[in-house]
Amino acid sequence: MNLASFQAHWLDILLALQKDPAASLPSDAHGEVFQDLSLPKAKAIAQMVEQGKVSVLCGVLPDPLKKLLPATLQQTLAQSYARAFPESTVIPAAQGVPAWFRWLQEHSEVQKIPFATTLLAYELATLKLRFYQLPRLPELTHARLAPWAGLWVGTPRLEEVLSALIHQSPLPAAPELANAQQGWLLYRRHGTEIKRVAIHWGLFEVLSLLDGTHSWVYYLEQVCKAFPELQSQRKTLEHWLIWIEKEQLLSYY
Amino acid sequence: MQKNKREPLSWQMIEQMFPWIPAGPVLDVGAGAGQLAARFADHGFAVTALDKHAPVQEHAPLKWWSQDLRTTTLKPASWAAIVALNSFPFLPQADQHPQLERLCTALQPGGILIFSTFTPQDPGAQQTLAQDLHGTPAPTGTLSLQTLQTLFKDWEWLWHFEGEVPDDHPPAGPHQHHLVQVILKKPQRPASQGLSQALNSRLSQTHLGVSLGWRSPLIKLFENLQQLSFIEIMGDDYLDPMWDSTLLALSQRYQILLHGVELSVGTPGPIDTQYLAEIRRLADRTHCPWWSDHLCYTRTHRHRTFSLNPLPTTEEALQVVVERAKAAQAYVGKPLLLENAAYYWQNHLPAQMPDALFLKQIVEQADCGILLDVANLYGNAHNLGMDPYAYIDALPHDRVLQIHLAGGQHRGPLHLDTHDSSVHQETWKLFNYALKRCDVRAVILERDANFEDLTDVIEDLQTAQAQWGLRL
Repeated sequence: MNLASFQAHWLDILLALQKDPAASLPSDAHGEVFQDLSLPKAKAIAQMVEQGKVSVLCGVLPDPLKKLLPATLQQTLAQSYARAFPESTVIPAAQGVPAWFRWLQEHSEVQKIPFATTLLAYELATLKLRFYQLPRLPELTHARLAPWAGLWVGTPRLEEVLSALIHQSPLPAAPELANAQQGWLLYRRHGTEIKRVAIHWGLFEVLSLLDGTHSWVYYLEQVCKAFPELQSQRKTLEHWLIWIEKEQLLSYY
Repeated sequence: MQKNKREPLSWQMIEQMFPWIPAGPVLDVGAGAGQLAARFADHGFAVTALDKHAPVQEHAPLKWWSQDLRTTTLKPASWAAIVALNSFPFLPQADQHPQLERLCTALQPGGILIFSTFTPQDPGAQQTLAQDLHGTPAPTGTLSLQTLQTLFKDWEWLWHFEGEVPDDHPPAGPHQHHLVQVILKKPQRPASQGLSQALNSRLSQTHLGVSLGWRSPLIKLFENLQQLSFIEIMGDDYLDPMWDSTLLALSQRYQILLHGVELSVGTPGPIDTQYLAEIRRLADRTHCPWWSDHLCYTRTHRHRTFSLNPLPTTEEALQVVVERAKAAQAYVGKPLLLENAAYYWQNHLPAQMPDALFLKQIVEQADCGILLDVANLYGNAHNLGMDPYAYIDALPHDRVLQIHLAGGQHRGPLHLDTHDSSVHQETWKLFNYALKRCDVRAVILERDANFEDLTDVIEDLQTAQAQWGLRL
């Protein structure tokens, strides 16, 4: 048995036991090479690995989510995720967190908690924003939203929800907001800081069309043609776009 | 098709590359009111602002030098970054090359030069904006992109621009400049190839003592342990450049050691250079004397796990690890320390060598160091009946630079390396034994869970410090 086969064989056993702690060792695991590996030993190792992973998964939850989801639920969900996806990445966090959050979003226990899926969607949107990078030469003919800026649709009371969770004050009543939607422009500046601006739906339309092939002036024109009710607000939208450009939230790559 | 627009240099562009500026002081030549210098300082850099007309009211985080560049002493290889934005037009043409060369000499290897000046096409080139040292007006100094390309042909060109840039200031009002702007990286020194070379230089003086692994739930404890001068961070937690400012702040407070779990040095196949590039950036940022990872594999070409799986001690595994450890060490440019693994079961592959001999041969052939986890030795003795003292005796003692201490859990027949309890008595004996024999430079106590009551962490730290003290 060469090194690669040995490694693959052991990881098959370990991952199978992480997926199903009640599983038994595969019959070919009783060969001479693996004769010292008893089921209790293999299970203890798998359990230790799972506990480490659960600890990391709970640790990467942002503070607002930690406050929103009861600690026992966090542990249970992390354990379920670790078992469902024993090969999922958790380190480095940037590679592993999006899949974990998307899984949480789809979990029925999470969906029952007001604002939980909204906050997960918000966190997922912010994870895509990258401020720091080495200088790059332009690749596009016209600017589009920069890698450090992004669009998100969610509750109009995002600030209120985040503030309530941070200060542990009562959350806004959820039912009355169930259908309300607001477009947001999110952008990252330094370090972990995220800025948020609630934006008009017309501006959201224009920004979501920017693809680097035409200027924002062109897309503003197109959007105003498609939605004649925006004509009266065209100047305001134009000022917003100038502000976005001035804030360097558009880039040529 | 319209031609791509080329953007001139912006402050944001400079800020975005902060994580790639090596650790060290930053010099802003012709800093004006110090706005850009302040942005560097806000990120955590130590900044010196050089300007003939320094503000009367100095900003606290900036150090001001109120003098002319030409009369300023600049030590060679002393600055991590030098910024000179449109200050060179005020130097006469004869000073352009000599002063630029002084800046180049003053930059440390791998340092960044951010430079902008007027080209001969700039309207100001026809004026006398420059002054000699006596204050006599002289024709404005200019440089072209072509000149800079010749001067810096051996440097790494990260970015450049040549063209019109709008400006607006009194008394001129709105006007255009024609500028050349570059961001360049000075060539690095040849990377250290291994531990032997490092031991013969700076590393021979490094004896750090005893400290604690940096974990966020322990931050309050660190605040109460002011005497700690160094820490070990999990490098994998800081790979995202968004943590650079935090890392810079930590590295100014502590000497940092980098430890990782994702190298997977025992996986056959090519090494992950993207991962190593990130580790190299962290190593540059922290000025760590070495970096460490585990003698294990965490993945194969079709699996990825969260576990640090020990290797069989075969000749094939030895060759795989030696090749990959050599490559990793050369790529990062700092000595790599490999940590001995925790064993829970004994494989029965044929023709294996004793595990201490396996580690010895790896570190000698790859010219690496050893991070000796004495808690793993205790666990391996419990789980597999290995003789931990014979293991220590068999190691090349001059290569054991660091020790890890931790507590674990007994679960069924196994002792597990869980890092969640106090250090076991037998582990202390092994620690003492290793300390007496090896040229240990740093000891790290690891705690990864059970953060509610940290009394035992403090006691373990004190015990380790006392044993370290007796060794001196």
